[in-house]
Amino acid sequence: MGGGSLKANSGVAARSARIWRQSAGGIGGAALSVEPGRGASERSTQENLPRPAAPITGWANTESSVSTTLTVWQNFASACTITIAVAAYPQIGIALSPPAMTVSLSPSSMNMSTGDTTRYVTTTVLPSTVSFTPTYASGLTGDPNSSCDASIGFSGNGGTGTVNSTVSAGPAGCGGVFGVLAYVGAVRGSPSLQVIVPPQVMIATEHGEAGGQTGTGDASMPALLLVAENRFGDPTFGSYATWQAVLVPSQFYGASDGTTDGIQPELDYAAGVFAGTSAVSLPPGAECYWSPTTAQWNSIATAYSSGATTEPSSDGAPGCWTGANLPAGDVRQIVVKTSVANNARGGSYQGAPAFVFLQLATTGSSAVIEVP
Amino acid sequence: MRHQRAAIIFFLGPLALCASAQTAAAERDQLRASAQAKVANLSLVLRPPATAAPGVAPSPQQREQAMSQIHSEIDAYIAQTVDPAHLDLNSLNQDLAAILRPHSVRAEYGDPPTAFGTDIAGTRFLLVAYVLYAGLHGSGGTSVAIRAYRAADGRFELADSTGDDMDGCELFVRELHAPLPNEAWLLAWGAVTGSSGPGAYIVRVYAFDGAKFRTIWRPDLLPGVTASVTLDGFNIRRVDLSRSLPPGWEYTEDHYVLEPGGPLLAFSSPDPH
Repeated sequence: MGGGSLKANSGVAARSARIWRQSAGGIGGAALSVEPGRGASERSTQENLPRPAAPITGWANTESSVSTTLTVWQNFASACTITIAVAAYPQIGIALSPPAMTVSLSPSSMNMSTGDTTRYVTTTVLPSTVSFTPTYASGLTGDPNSSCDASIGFSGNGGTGTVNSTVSAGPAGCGGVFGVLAYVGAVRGSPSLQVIVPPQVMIATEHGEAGGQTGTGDASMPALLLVAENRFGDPTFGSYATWQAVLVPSQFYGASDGTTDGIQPELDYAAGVFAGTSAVSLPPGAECYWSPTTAQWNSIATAYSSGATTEPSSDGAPGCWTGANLPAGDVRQIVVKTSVANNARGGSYQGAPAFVFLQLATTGSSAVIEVP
Repeated sequence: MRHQRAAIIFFLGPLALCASAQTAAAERDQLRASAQAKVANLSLVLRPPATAAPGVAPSPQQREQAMSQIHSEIDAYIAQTVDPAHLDLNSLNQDLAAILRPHSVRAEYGDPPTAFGTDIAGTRFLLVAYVLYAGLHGSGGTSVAIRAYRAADGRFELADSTGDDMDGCELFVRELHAPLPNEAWLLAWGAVTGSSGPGAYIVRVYAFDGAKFRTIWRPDLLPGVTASVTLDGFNIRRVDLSRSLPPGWEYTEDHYVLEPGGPLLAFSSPDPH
């Protein structure tokens, strides 16, 4: 909280003045200046604001100038203009403009689970001596294929300089992409924050199906979610449109995994696929996957290198498009994604990719294809 | 004269029997061909349109109707061609495989149509298991048929079925050593169609008492299952999630013994692989 300085037009006498403040968390260190020609009309725009406890007194009055030292006894929001009207001379106004205040928010993006309790954002205000309590405005900007909308909330703690606000999301299992703005009083923080809350079943499925594939650059986790995404709207897979409907234990056993929070790297991969920002891609027809053993992988690799058009008989592929479920004129085609790392277990999976994929192709197509 | 007649009967009798058998075989071939054609036609309704030339997918009602008609065809074929007094399960299995060819799968996905014969309280029964693929994955993706036929008046008539309990799955079936007299027990398991990763399996033990099926054992979905029958029960080999770091699947084999009230888990052992 600091004092202000006041300047006035020469030759103007002031007999009394009142000051209004805008309610908000605020700042001190205001600079006062006299602004000719402003007065009652501006004041009227602020009539609804709470009034200070007492008028400012103690003006020194001379023929040519007025001066005083003000002690501002309330916190002021930096965006407000505080007008001091001179009652006897309504054409004269005195505007008090708070000094520049900066509010910054970090990080600029954050992924979280509805089960997370320790995620926070940091709001920093300069000057660092300012006491403040940040507020946050958030809005759902996207809810891609989630069956229910999450909402997010922030703790209401305050402090000086830097304040960490805990972020929470719920209800459990719901999802959403949010834009968040931080405010200190009326001052908007920068930059804005994007919060991505993928449906928990995406995280759980990744952990339950690929929890051992945590190597840097391993596309396993996002790729298996892309398999599920490829099923959206496909009538042979139920025409489902939400992650919660597609990722069920009877189709992806890992969906029964009990993970309730945002473990890593599952959370970040899930957030990327959910928000559509993942750099990993998969052919749109790849709707099934499995983890071949070494022996199964050898048969797949042989079929690939020989350019075979018949699927290897013992490749371990799951029961997709079997029997009369195979469309007439189609065959199953194995998709090997080179960015999927080898199965981390080794042993009977030694040298085999953690996942290979299955899609439909027209009869006569290669039995195995490779994609990056 | 009497000797001559006896000689004629002696020489012509086998010929007559042979001719009769040939007629029966021809009739059976004809019935099989007819059933095969009907099932093939009905299966066209179920099969999804080609990716390259997508057409209109059948409605759920059309699927339901087609599958119901196929089941009826199988019932009729069994009633018309299988003689309870001369039960030839091999021939029947071959016939069913031919009739249900559009629904055949590779051996790792399921068994071919399988028939079991059993006598319960002096009456002969035929148990038949097969799968119809409905052109879908997951729930409703298949119609799993485990049907019991009772011998009556020289033919088999449908007594009961397990209903839609395992619909959506592929199917393996094994006959168990029933711990109760006058009952037939079956172990059935299969992956839910479309299930990825280790696969999600439905496992059941059914008992048939000569009148009705009842479900003896209905565990939750299990991942990555294979099963085998033992003298006193069965073994279930499954992915053991508690020991696995996905997708490096570790397996455990559960050993069950059959008691009149159902299977009891005797012990489990890790299955190194």
